[in-house]
Amino acid sequence: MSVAVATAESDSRLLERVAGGDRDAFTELYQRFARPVFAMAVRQLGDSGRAEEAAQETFAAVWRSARSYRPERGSASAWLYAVARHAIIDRARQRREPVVEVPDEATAEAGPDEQAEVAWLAWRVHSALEQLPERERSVLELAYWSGLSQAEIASYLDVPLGTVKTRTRTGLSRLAGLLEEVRA
Amino acid sequence: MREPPDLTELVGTDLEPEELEQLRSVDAALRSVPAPPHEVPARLTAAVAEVPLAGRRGRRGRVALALAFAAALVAASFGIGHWTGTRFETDYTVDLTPTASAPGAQAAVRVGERDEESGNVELIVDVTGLPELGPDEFYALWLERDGEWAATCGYFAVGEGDTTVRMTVSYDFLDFDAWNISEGSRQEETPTTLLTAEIPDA
Repeated sequence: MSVAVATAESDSRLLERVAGGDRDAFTELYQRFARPVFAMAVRQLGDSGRAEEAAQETFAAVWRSARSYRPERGSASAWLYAVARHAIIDRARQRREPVVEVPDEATAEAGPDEQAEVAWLAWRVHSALEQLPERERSVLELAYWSGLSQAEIASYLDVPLGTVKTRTRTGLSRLAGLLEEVRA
Repeated sequence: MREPPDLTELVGTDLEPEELEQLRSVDAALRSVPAPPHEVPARLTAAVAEVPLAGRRGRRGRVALALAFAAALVAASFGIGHWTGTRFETDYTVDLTPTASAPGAQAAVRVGERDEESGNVELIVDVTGLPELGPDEFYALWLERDGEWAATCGYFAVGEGDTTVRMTVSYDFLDFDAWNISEGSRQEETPTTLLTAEIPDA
């Protein structure tokens, strides 16, 4: 089964529009990246209030600096990741605390390189999820992060089991394409 | 937290090997990263919505700002000019009237004198009688034009008794029709106005 990657405007094109002062493009970009940025900030700063501040600064920096993005140097997602990293590190420095990955099961024993690898993978996965249709994203999140079975998801969402299976398979296929796109 | 179901339970077993391999790789990625936050705080969304309204300041603008700031410092050190860093001088006060949604509330906005260098105006908002909100909830002071939320002055929370909030904006208030206080942000489709005051034509 082959699933077409979302036909939505590319991140790169959106950034170009933001660089030109397009507020609608900025809103669209925020909707795509708010959760990945906030997730990374919470993990690395360890508290929601400071994460909000770092996320706000990230998007302020995106608005100010979108013109500095050069597509030939890498993907828009990678550029946004770097902007978010800087904002989070700046926020951490204000408290004179090192940036730390809040341990989770996947990274409990990981060294700095592996933590960076996981942070980048988490960014790509979370960003790609934001581009899925809500109906597909919700079944994947319920399966992978709430541990619900397909039958439980069907019951929770009040949809037929076959619908859950179709959405899961389509969502995973679409996600595969999106993750390929942001590998840069 | 429960482990996610096996990939075969999720997608079945009737896949081509190539597709199964592709999905296996996505499955591994999903299992190895932490869950994204359930949602982004509304306060963050509201704050980011204001970012484009602040405009962009280019290098020349930054230099001009730095020079203006330096000039202000020099003026202050020699005791000349008007240093308003710690002093608030009210130009006029706007009394907001409660709507039927907040009959016991009162609010007044003290509008400061416009800073000629930066164009900014300080506002001091005195509020009483509004209920305390939850941790992710907040009130907003905003300006209305043609019946729409046109510009946000700032967001605030209230405690018991009187609350005083300081804000800085750069709007020309005569461009607007009314001051409003409501709960939530401009993302709300129909924010309920709790207090309001018309802005008379010049």
